[in-house]
Amino acid sequence: MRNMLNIENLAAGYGDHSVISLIELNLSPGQTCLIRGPSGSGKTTLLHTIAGFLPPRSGTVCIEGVSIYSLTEGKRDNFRGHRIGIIFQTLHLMKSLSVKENLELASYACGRAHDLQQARDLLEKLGIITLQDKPAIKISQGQAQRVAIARALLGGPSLILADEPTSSLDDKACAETGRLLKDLCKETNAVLIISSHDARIGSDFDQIITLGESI
Amino acid sequence: MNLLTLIRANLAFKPLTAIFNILLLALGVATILTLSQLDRQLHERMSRDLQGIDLVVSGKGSPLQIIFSTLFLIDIPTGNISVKEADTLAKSPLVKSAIPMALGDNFEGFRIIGTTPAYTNHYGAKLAAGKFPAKAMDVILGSETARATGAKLGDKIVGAHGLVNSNDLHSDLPYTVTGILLPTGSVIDHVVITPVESVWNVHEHPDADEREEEVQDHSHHEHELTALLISYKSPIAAAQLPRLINRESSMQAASPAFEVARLARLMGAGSDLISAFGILLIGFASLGFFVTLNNAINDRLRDIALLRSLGATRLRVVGLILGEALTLGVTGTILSTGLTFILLTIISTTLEKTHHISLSSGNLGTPEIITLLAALALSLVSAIVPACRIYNLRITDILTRT
Repeated sequence: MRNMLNIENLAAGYGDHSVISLIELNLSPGQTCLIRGPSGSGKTTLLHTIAGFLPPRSGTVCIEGVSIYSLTEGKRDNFRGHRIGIIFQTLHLMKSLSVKENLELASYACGRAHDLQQARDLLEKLGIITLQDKPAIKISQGQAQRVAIARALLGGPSLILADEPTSSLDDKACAETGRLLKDLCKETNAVLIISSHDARIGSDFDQIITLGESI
Repeated sequence: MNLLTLIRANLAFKPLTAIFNILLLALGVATILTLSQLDRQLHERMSRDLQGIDLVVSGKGSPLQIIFSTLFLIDIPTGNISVKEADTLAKSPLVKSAIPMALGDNFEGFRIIGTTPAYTNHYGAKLAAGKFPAKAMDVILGSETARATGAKLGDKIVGAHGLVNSNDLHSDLPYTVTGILLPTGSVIDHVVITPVESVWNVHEHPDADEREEEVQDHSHHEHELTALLISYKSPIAAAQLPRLINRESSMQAASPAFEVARLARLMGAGSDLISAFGILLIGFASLGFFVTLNNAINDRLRDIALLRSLGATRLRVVGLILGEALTLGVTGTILSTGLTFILLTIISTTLEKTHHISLSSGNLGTPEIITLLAALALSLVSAIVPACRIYNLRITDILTRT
């Protein structure tokens, strides 16, 4: 099967020094990967590099065969909007919008036609359809986490990146979020990469990268 | 979802600052628009009232007061002139035409002007109904006089002594309304016009028994006029006639063009000061926009990073900031036109009541449109620095910071 994500000889970091180096990472559709390591080990830096936010010092990041850093910044933004779903550590819902509008925002940002039915299906599947008209500022942390997941999956991206998605959740919600993410990515055949230092996330992943040690 | 949904949501999320800035802009623009419209409309109205009159001759006194009392009908005349002197002046080779005016009474606050048909002809007034006065004690009403007083053709109306509404009525000598004029947009809309003999009748009759004879014959009285409205025969008259009148007669000559220019200079300083205040308000509003948008960026770094991470390009996010500034600007300017309308309506109603001057409330001319566009441009300019900040932000910097 053709790889969805190929990373080769990657070195990335902020300022003058490289925080991470990754010789190779290949993931096929539906596969999952956990990036773990202590705080400051470069988990988020790696995710940002894969997402197209942070040009690497060296090496390539190919998604669906496209070397994303060979694209202009505008095209890379657009590519990210269409092909990559991102879940942030601190959720990042737009508080001035409703739950429904936060989902629409994903389509608006990259200029994609909004699939209303898909948005409803995702909210239904995540058990938050009744919240769709509520302002994002008025929902709980756990509910907001689910909205962020729904938004990341909207539009059928081929790659889902989740940065510490369980850090602020209790044990039950943590297990549920991990399961939900894996199930939904399997269902849509998307590659799932989770960065976490949370041991509760488990080790049931196709690949595990541990940063802070030689890879 | 579209850009407007996002802009509305962002502005509505913290509405107080946005409302404050919109109000500041609206007040600034409305001040300038109101002054500009007042200036333009009063200027047009004055031009209409002064058109074709080169000189006004009246009793000795302030030239400005003469112009105000005879052409704009908003002051008390300086005094009377004798018909004999007026006749001599009217026959001067320097004079093309001379229209007599005899003032002294009013009908429900509208001045009664004793004159000749030349007065209505001068203002191009046409009859809406009835006919021009054929004899003394017949009157025609200006359009606004008829509307405000409700007087109709054939009605008997009674003048009151003085130039403002009073109880000193000339009940024994009523006038008959024979005609009503079409609106002209000039001073003639707010008057009652009658042959000059009517005014003499009312003010010079000795007793009731002699009244009938008096109406027919005034020859044994030394009649007086309030003023003579003069048009020059040639430009030389402008240099000679006023000097001649002021030096060699008991009359006072006043040049409308000169006096109005003097008045404009006097009023100009005050008007400029208020305009400067309006510009200052717009400046503060622009500064407010800048501070609002700049603070909004600090507050919304996460939202901006989110938009970028969802695929929005730098330009798209910059468009959002400029769109917010433009929305504030457009709302402020729309509100300012509404405020201007309200202000002008209040001023117009007051002027109508006190000085019978009506102004329109809603005509935007080129200067007003330029002011509106300038306010919009300023609100956009105030967004340029915040927009540049947004453009240069790196997503990773924001994400790692938050």
